[in-house]
Amino acid sequence: MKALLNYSLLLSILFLAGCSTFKPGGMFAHEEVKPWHKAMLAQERMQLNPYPLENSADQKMFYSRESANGGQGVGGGGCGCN
Amino acid sequence: MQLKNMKLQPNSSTPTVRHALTVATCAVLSGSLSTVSAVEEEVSDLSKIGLSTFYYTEQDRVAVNTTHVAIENDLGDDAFLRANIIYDTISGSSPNGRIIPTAVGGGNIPFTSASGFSISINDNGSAGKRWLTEFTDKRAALDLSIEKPITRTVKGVLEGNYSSENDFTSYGVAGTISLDLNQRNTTLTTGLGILRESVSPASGTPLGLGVSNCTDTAPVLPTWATCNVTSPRFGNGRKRLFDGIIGITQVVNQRTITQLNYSLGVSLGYLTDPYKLISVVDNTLDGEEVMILYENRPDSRTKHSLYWKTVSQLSEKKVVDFSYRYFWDDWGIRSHTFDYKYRYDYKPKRYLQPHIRYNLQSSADFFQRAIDSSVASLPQYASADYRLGKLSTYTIGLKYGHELGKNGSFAVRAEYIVQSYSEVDLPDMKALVYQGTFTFKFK
Repeated sequence: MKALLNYSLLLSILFLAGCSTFKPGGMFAHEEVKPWHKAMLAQERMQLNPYPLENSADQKMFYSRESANGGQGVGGGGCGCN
Repeated sequence: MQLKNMKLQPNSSTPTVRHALTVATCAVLSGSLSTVSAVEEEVSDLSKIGLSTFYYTEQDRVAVNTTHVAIENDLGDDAFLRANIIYDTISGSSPNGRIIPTAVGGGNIPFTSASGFSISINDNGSAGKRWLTEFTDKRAALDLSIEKPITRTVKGVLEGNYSSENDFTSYGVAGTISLDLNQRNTTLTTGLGILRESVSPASGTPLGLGVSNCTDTAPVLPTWATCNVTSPRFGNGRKRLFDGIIGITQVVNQRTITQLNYSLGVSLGYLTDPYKLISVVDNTLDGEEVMILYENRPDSRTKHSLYWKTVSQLSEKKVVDFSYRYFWDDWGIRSHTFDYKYRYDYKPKRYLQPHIRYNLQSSADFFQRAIDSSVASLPQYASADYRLGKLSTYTIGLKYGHELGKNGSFAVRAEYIVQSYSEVDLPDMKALVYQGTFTFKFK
């Protein structure tokens, strides 16, 4: 199982690397973006937190099983998770 | 940074082009005028409700059932009031830090911990496994926030939260301010949060490294041990947490947005877990457990994290969302977390989203599997909580999402988690997660 997960992770990294070969800079190719160019970025699926109910559940789940947390923002209550 | 959703009027022109033009018109107007004239009918005054049911179950360990209701109310003028109500029920057994004896099957050491009427704990272990503590608990949480523009390019969010468990209370406030620059292509964000937490075991909070119990069969006890005196108890264990964040969000091009955050957290007070134990073992007796102590952690902790996230649309049907976080603290823990989601809209309004996450964590300086009874004196701090040890967590999942008409959507997902430990005797933790969500926007 771990081998499969490691393999999947590697594949996804390679896939990301592959994305950047489609054109110079790939997904990070800088372009001047005017307000009327933002139709795509306005879509819900393009938001930085498009699924807040899932993100909230994940944050708490991993907070209670790992030592690392934070990075996405401030706020939110704690828990005495065991 | 976010554009308003605009309602499309029935029209024979191509919807995609029309939608793009609509959004663009709105964006230009909102960027240059204080009020947007009614070129299109705005529906940004939608209120939204979200419902979630979440089930998390670990093999032979803890199960959590969570119901989450999220409500968004549009106050007008781009101001929103949001409420999140969460209710958890938790049951099962959790590793308490004691070693797993060679002859697996549980021991005969009588054991009393900080249990009481409000939280049910079977201290003799789960199904004879004395390294596990059975418990049940409930948690209710309320989070209220208000988002309001301060000027045309500055937005503020103020939040208050409260959560309560049988033996734990948490409440806090947080504020975030963001500034849009560069035609709203760059957003600078800063925020502060303060949280107060209190843990209140029914029979009092034990003194760190105080004696929980001794085996009555151990022939030799450590020279520093005093088995006839169990740990004194004091009142609630209280702590304060201060969090700060600064971040930048950048539109890279028409299909990619990226974010970089640095966050700092300082925790002060009682940071020990009153339910966690550490075994004292006699290595002349094949590592047999001769005493059980309560763990003890430092009373301050400073945490840092660097978080990078990117969302990019590879094509009309494909969106990738990946993040990386590097975390470090003054307890000596270092952590790398990778998260990757790939959304594929295989049909209009329907999508599949595979997910992979990987976390690798090093151990805290004071983490140890057990204390050797031959040491001359006790260390100042010691914990055998597996969450402070070296571990790796793998997650793989799949989500199915379906949009219902213009305003509704639902999604279901399943995740499989494996957590492995290299410094404790625990077997791998395997968990399954199921979640169903439904959201609806009211006009």
